[in-house]
Amino acid sequence: MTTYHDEVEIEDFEYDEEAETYYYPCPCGDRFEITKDDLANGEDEAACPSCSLVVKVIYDIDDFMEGETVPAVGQRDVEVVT
Amino acid sequence: MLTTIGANSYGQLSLGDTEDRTLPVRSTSHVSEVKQISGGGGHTVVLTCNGECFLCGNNNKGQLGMILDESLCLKQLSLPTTVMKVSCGWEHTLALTNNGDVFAWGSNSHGQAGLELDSSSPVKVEGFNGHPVRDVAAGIRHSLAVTDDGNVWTWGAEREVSWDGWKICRADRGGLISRGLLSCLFVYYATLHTASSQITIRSRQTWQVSEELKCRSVAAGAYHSLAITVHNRLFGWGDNKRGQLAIEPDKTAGTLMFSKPKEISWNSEKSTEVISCVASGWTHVLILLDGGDVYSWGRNVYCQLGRPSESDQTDGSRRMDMCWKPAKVPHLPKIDHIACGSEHNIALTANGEVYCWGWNEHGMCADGTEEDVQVPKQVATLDKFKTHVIGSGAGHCMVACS
Repeated sequence: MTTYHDEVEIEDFEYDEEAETYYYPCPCGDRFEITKDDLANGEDEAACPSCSLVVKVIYDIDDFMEGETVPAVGQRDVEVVT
Repeated sequence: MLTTIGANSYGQLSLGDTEDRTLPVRSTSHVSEVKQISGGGGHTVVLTCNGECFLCGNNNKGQLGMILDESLCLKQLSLPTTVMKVSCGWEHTLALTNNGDVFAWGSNSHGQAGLELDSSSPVKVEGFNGHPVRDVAAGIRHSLAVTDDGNVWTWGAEREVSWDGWKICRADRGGLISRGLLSCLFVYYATLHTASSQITIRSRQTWQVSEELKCRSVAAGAYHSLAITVHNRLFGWGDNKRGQLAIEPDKTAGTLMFSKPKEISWNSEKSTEVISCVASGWTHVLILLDGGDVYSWGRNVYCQLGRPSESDQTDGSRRMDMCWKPAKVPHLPKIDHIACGSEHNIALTANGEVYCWGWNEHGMCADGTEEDVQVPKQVATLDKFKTHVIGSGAGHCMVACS
């Protein structure tokens, strides 16, 4: 079982549209990362390329299914889409 | 000379490369008369006694304040006036000048730079009701300042609590700030009881006004903040999920987050000893007393608290992963200065010796290993030098010694 450094909501990640990847600060100074495709595939572990730490991503997979537009952090509406 | 240790993914060690170091290595950069060192996620700022700033590391958000991709060695940043103190957030940087102005640069994704627009060069942060600023601190995505009237000002990322536990304030407010709108509110937690008339442009706010609660200094964790009053009282607000506000975190009791400043009783014996300074990791806190003792509390999964297991407290305040009750860090001589990384710590004695403890995956505790350091351990390789200044970034340390 993976021991998570933390559990982080997807809204707290910063989204890079070019890389289609979400990033969150890692204590080592690098960033936890997880791609939009990973999320759509149900992956919920964001790893840091520079160290062993992993965070669990809290998100709703329905927001990432094909055909849906995922709003970038900074433009996300407060309302939950049902 | 400058000596650096730890994570180096972005050249924050100023060694000309991006390899981690588990033992202190002399930097190729020559900066003399170092006054202060502060580090962010992947960048480092060295401040000299002359008030000049030298920066290195990651510049993806302009946190070096210059136009370049990154810098693997310290480069001087020109500022319009003498700088007295610097503080690095994750990807932003604050500089306090001798006339009480605050300059900011780097990421403004959550309003943490306090600017209308992102800026990769220093811009003066407006506001503070015309009062000069006396102290600044930067968290991951928020910033704090103390003005000469004792008020604390906060801006940047905000979290709020909902009835069913944690709820993150949506980052759309950060989007608004970065688009240059002035109307959005960027108050970090602590302003519920503040008069609305206090809201200034860009909505920085103060959280206390009474004579009794005038503040003298501030510190910022990942999602919590701390302030020391002129009367030596310590207050904290924000995230308490790891006990970083010295209160047992309990979802049912509603103590996972405090939206208003909460006084921290760090010593049950009601000691009158003066708190010399407070430093914060991402989820743990250290205070240094005038007598040279260090107290710690908060998260402890990486041994950040520096307390050995045999001193486990029997009052239920200590769990495997944290200890919310403040207690003295043993195995330390008289300490002169402290600094926290994200999950590790560095302390300087009056004799110029350096101690480190906590998370050590990148060797930031400078003992040549990558095993977490449970109790403070003297950095043996700095033995032959006298260290004057210590500083820390998220996963690295930098010291100035001779």
